[in-house]
Amino acid sequence: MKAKKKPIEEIPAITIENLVEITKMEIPSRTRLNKIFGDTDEDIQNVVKLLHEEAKVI
Amino acid sequence: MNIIAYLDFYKNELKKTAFEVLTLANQLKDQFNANVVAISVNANDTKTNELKDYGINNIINISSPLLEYYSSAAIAEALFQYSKTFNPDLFIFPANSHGLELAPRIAAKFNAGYIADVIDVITEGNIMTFKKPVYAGKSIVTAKINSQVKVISIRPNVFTAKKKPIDNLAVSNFTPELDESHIKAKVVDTKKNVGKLDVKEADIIVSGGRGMKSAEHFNLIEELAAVLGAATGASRAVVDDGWRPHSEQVGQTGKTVSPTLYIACGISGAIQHLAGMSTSKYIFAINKDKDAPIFKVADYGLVGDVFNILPKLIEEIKKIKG
Repeated sequence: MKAKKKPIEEIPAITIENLVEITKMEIPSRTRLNKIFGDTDEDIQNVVKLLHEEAKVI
Repeated sequence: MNIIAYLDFYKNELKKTAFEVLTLANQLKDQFNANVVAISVNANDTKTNELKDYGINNIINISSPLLEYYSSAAIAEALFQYSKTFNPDLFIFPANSHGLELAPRIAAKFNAGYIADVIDVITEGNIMTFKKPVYAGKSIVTAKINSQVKVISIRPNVFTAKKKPIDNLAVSNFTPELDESHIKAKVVDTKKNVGKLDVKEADIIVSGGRGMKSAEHFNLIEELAAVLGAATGASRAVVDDGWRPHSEQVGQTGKTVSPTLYIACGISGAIQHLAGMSTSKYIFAINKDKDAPIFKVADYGLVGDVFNILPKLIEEIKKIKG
């Protein structure tokens, strides 16, 4: 009951300048290659080849 | 338009992000016919000369004995003081530990809008909008800054540094009026990870998770990283277990990285981990569980035992590297 009697003070909300405004929201469009292999020696060689020749990252 | 490009250049260590910040500043300079000033702190001439290849001919070196040790409050104050003579419209910082501390301080000083971790800048006429990942990378927002002064920090490794050599590089010193009261927190000691690449700036990262089973097995991660010239990373689980230092932790509570190649070994791909690496250009995952979430975001993957795969992978890469 004490809680019911507790006065709730209302204070006006301050207005703040909208410094940053979101204009658009999207799901990332980047689709992954998803080339998944097993663990045989051939698979490992294949992935290394793809990293070297397709992605050119190693 | 006046642009300030902050070079993370502290104590003569020129970070890769400096070139990325300069590349973006250069691009905007051409588009908006802007004036660009690059800011360094306590840098010497030998280092600033390296910047000649990146198209900015005006460098202001903030010079003060009080900035011998890094202090974001003091550097922000020095930048603020310099800005009074330059009237900047846009500040560009790297979104690394220094930039992420400095940028909000500058934004507060100018009552400016600030967008952190920018991955793209779109210009249409005189309007600039910025893209940044939100919700652990699951969504990308485009936002604009309404204030006259705009502050952004750019995610490392996203804006590829492009060379644009120039003939004349003017470096001027600016001595800010600083005193001890500007040093809100003082660095008393620094310890450097000697010979280790910072995951935040590395082109290739080899990360290990709980699937590596113990701290000792990370020698395989280190060996692969050494062959590739890569940095080593770790998931939160292994850092919590004390197998790896927190400086290597990638994810929501660790570092956000965007390397060209991210190799995840024995990492299942919890959403918190993906939040820190999902903007990597290529992701290569090795995990014995074919249903592990990491494979959903992977470009390349091997399903199998890391202890069987890694030694063979290292040998194959060594063959290519010659």
